[in-house]
Amino acid sequence: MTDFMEIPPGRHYMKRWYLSCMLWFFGRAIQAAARVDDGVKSEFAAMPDNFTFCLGAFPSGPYMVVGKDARGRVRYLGSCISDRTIHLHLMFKNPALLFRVFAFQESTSVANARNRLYVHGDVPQACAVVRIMDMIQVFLLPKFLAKRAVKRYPAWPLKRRTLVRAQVYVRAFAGL
Amino acid sequence: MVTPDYYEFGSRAHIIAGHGAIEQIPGLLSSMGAQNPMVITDQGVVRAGLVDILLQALDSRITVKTIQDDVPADSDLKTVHTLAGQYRKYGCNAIIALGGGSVMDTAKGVNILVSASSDNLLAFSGANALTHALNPLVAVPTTAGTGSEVTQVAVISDPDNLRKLLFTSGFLMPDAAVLDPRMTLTLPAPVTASTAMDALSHAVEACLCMGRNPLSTAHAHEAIALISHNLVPVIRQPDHKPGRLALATGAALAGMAFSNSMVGMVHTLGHAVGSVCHAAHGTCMAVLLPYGMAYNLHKTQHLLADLLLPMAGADVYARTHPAERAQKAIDWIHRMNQRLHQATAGAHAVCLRDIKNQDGKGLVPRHLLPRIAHTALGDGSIFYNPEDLDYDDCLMVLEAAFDGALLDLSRVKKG
Amino acid sequence: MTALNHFLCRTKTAFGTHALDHLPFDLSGMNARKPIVITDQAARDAGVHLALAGACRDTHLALGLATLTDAGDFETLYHLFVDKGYDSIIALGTGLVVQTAKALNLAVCLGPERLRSPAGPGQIKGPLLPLVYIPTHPETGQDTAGETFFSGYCFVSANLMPDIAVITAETMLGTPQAAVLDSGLSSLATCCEAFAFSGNPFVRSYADAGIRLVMDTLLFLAQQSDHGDLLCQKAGKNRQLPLAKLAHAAAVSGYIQSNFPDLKTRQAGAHFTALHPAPSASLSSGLCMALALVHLFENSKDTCPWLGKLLLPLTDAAYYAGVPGPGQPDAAVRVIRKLLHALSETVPGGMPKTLDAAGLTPRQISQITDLLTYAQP
Repeated sequence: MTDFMEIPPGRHYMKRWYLSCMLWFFGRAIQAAARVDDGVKSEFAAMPDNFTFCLGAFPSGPYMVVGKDARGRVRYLGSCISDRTIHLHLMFKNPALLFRVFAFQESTSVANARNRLYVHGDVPQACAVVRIMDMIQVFLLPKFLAKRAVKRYPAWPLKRRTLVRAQVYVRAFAGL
Repeated sequence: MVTPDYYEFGSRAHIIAGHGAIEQIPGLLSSMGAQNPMVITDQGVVRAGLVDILLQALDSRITVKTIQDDVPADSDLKTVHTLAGQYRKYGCNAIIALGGGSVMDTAKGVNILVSASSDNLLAFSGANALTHALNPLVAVPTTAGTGSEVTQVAVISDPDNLRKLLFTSGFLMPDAAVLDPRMTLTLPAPVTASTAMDALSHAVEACLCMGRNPLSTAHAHEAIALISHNLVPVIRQPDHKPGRLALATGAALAGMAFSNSMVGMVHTLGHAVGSVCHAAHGTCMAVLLPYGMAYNLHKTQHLLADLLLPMAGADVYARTHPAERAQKAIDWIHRMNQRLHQATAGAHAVCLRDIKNQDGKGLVPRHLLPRIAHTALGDGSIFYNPEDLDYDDCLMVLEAAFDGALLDLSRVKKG
Repeated sequence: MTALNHFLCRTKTAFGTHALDHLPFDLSGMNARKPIVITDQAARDAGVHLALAGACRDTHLALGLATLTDAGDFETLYHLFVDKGYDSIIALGTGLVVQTAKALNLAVCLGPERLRSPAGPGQIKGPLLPLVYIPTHPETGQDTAGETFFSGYCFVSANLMPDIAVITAETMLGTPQAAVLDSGLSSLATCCEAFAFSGNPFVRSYADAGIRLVMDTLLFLAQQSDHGDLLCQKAGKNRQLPLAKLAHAAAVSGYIQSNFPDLKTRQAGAHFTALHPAPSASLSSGLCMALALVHLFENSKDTCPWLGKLLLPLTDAAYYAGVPGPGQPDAAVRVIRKLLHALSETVPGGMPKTLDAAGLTPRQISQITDLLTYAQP
């Protein structure tokens, strides 16, 4: 006799909560860096106005939405993708794979090489977003962690490493 | 053997390679329940008489409903929509794609529309947007280079919005890839050289890039050996059928390898040169390949050293000191370009400055190098390269490749 | 290169860490929304299905889990699948689990009556439902080959190859030494013979990778193996990855079998299995195949086209290039003999070194060696 049972999908509540917190802070850090850092500013400058992108996990998040409004201002737009047009999706194939990146077990570039994420949208813009993410990780993480998160740790000038980094942190916490 | 933590490898196309391979198409289509194909091709293929060879190979089991030969050099949305209309008009139930990369991509695009009974190709762009098997598609490459016959990707340009649309899905893999040496016999020597170097660049980058894995490396090494041993003999004797078959097989193997491991900076920069200057893709790959290898030398020395064996053979490998094998592999590519330059009476370029159009006019002026470097930063392949690349790095490599100078490795940033 | 080469491998191999986490996305790409998982009691007892369920968390993908308890379960399984509206199959296990999954796929797509007569190549038309294969230990290649045996009939079709083979250390069960040796030697013989005799570069590329995977892991696993039956426990941490690699090699050998059906060593192995149905570490079908391989190579050194080149995947580039060309065929056979000798040392009481010493009668040996000839290499 075949033994049969059904296994419902279930949820990883702690992992989702952790990811939501990380994405919230990461999104606000992007908004902050776009105000104070020339490198991040120049990447956003090449994107069209009213452009929105999201980083998240298949099939239903969590997500982080960031957009550039009609006046060219970059804003963190929360975690909901259903109420707006998203021009670029950067999606991990499973929340567990997104978790590996935000738990610093795997860098974005390695996850990409392992086919763990996919892009829906314009590829050049996706490249720019990945470069922005790399810069934000260098701002936010201590060097030993950031070296694992990016392919090549950049040799930034002292001001960018200290003053700009501090501004990014303060603004990210304050939501400025 | 170093096994990456995670990798994927798959290539679902039924490959038929050999003398008389196209005669297998009727049986193939019949087994898929398709007797009324549309042939998609381009004017160059028609002029070379390859459509006639194909039609002669099809027997009474197959009725070609229509032959569409207006595919442009860059597949675009308008062509795809037009051809999909023709497919429906003539009541076709399969596609035979006869041509190079653009024909293959166009055929994949048409197959999406006709299989999904849709008029909106945009709805299927991106990754995994297709959820059902498509109609039968048989790919017959007429160049030995792109490997599109065994990839699950299509790139179709949208000129109205100045963008290229990427389609990725397992369902885009052709049902069959038919490699017949008769389809490449008439290729001119410079095209044979550049397309084969394109395939070689696929294989080499498949071995070096971050997505490399044991299966892609095995396919790539086999491809490198086939191309390395047959390219110059075929240039010297263009009607050498076994050599032509070896090049076509090498290109398909390289296609299987790179579509699973992806490619790196040689393609990053090559795509940008092609996009900005409209230079032939294979020529850009040939010129940039040794520079991409040199740039990544510090991160891939052992992998590059292993390439010397399939490239130059066991004797050269054994005679070379282990510490010098990687550099020797790079030198071997430089020398191969030189040999092809001589064998094609100078038509095969060895540096970017030498890339010319049919009128002999240089296609890549030095002042466009900054724009090329900027464009390169928007190419997705950049993320698979072992070492990071920023604008300055791209420009440095392009400047060296422009003059055919050696890359100054002391200027390569190591993080 | 021979005149006309065919190659078809329908299976995508996904190997390594967190491979299961990719599965919900891959299933959605095949329009598979409701998969049924078929497994066996050993995998169920070891909780391997929990790793799969964990990968489906947060993905809306509910799984039906059917555990096979005896071979007569097929009708129940068929009705379960149809009545509950499943649309894809995940075979979590090896052997009977996979044969049942392939048969179920045939039954639901082509009707249960299709299983009442055998089917040769070309007789099973059209794509079947998505089939995912997740091995729980290394096997001998039949699971990924385009064939299945069910109710006494053989069904052959490339459509029976799994769509995806997910091979990961997370699902590897502890495996007794006899099964490790059987799998490793079977894969080695299949890949080596294909590499040495096939003129098909696509087959040889897969074979190259398969040989390297076996050479990388088999001796280590044989030395580390537990001699008892550990099928109901997850493998120890240090053995999980090598076991997964060996399972990967076995999967590759299955792809090769489907594209090179005339493998002499497999025929010898099948003949041996008919004589000795119960394998042990010192006597198994895999060992017979390896001994047959050596016999085959010894008798065709002058005619085997790529025997010398076989030295490359068996060793490495530096060793291969260091052996002069004419000496490479002998060196390749020596490497295989050396491996067999080293494996023999790990088995209490040793393993037979030749077919004569494997306990077969002269007539049986002659039946096997008669199989081991290539009319035209």
